[in-house]
Amino acid sequence: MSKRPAGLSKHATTRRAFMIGGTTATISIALPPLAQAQSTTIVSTIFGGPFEAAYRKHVVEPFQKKNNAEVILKYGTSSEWVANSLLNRGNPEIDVMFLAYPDSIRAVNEELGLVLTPQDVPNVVNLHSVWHESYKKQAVGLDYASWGITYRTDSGVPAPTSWLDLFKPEYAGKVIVPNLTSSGGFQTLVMMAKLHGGSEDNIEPGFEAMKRLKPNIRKFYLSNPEAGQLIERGDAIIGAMYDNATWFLTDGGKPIQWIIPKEGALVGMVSLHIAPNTKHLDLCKKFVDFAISKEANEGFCNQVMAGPTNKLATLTEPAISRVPKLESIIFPDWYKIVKNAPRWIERWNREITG
Amino acid sequence: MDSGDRISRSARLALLAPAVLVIAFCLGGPLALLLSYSFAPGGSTRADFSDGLTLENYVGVLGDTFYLGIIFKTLWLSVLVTLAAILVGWPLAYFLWKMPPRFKTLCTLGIVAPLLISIPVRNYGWMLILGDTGLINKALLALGLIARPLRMMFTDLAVVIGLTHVLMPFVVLSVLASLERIPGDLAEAACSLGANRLTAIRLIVIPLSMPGLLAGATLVFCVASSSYVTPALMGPSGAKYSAVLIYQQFVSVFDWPRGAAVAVVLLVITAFALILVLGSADRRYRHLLRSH
Repeated sequence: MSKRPAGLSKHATTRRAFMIGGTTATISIALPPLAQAQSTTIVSTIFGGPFEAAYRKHVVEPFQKKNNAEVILKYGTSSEWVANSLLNRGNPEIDVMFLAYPDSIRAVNEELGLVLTPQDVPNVVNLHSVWHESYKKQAVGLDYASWGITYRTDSGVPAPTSWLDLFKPEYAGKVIVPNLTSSGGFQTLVMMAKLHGGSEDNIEPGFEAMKRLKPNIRKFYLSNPEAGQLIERGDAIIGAMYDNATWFLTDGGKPIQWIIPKEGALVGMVSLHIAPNTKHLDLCKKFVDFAISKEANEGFCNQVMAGPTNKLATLTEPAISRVPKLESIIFPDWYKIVKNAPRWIERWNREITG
Repeated sequence: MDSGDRISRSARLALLAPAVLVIAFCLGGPLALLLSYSFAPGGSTRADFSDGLTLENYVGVLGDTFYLGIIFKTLWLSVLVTLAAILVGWPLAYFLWKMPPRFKTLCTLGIVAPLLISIPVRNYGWMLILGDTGLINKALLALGLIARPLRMMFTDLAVVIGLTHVLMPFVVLSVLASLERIPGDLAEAACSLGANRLTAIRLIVIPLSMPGLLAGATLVFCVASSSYVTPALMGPSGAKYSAVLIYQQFVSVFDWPRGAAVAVVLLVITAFALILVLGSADRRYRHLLRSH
């Protein structure tokens, strides 16, 4: 070892050691961008979990192989992706947005998605028209999920049959519903309103019902995975949740089931929106077209237990007996919900979670 | 401690310049933008100044006991977290200081370990301990000390525990740095003059560790008051803490001017509180702070 300069303490770095270390660090940080393949890349978004696994397997990977392109999936929440797209409208960071209610409607209101015609996306003609029309043609629906009741079968309480069962005193402190700003929040509030004589225009009964439900609530959860965790661990024994999130737990061997309450289940939908200013417009159109094609839709929906949007797609067991028929699901008026959302959120913060 | 090198004033400024430029550009710029948003009419994601500047957002925030309540509750909780971090962190730093060098590095690494794990993973770990079916409740139920599980998760207590757990290493490292600068025989000299061990600690070690303690406490307070993930994951439902409220305004309500106003108010109040505390500490411990 070369002679250390005199006067330097035992632990101080010599200039030589610093140069070597610094150069190594710089190279290792700079290397990954150099090593990336030079294929075309589009950026899309996804929720994590079993949803993601199915999406990659049936949509992303086949598409990547067929088109020799790369699809990068960002994580996060729908609202964050909409906020991102609003900020980067001219130079979008996300080429194909994958959004859930109510953010998909916000995106439509802000015209963040390209209007999609059958020339752009041929498979549009094979969709149930509602999944194109309801977005004012600026997006296409990918799959629908149903908002109902999830419960533990080992709780000792008889299985629920109605939304009003959530109010039962036997469930005191063991009920979970989403926070208003989380996935499923607006569905819950609107459902409560409708059950008590209200609607999207008259939300008062909904708030009254939520106030009565409050003592039963363990937590207003922030995300579907969190809800799954709470029920799985037994912190909660019943809650308002999506069907596909629940089936994943059931198939994992947990004593958890999902039912459509007798008053009906509400719809949840994820949709694909193309950013108009994306640099890879043709590739994005191909991607969306593939995602809603019969083969991709079938494969994906069968794996996650969701309802397909393509008329030609058919489900097989076990999905076919679990997924409610499209005609039986309740469609709230999302445009009214989004318009009222800020006021409702203010009120919710003060009266329900305050 | 070699202050023999007299660095000229211009050289000092030159050394500071890169850091100041980065902070001015990366922090100051966005903050200025945020400030401008807070004076725009609320209700949208655009800052529309066609009707001039407006104070409506500030009136809305400062005139509303609900919003003020959230801000002050966040600050109060941050004070609790800071005190807890000091209570746990200072003794830890003292023991580390007294430890033989062989074990010191390993133990320091162990204390800093929580920072190496991502926040959500840490929080879910706490759920395994504090949850209704978690370790503590299972133990207490098995021992027959309680009849029903204690509600510890999704409370303010859980937030304080979670934040203290992750921020306490800052206090430990900061205090340790200060303690390392104390000449090793100072405490022994005090003992030879008649002080017992505790008096030596009280009169010699604690005052000399103050600079490190204040630095660590400042860091803990600032991070705690602006913390989002831990309060969101471990705390009570809804927008109960400032960062959660601000996030909600930007990402769920899409009222960016209102969110900006809440952010600015939080920033000003926190800065004010810090200036008060550090200012008075500076006066008390001026002679110690200067010598470093």
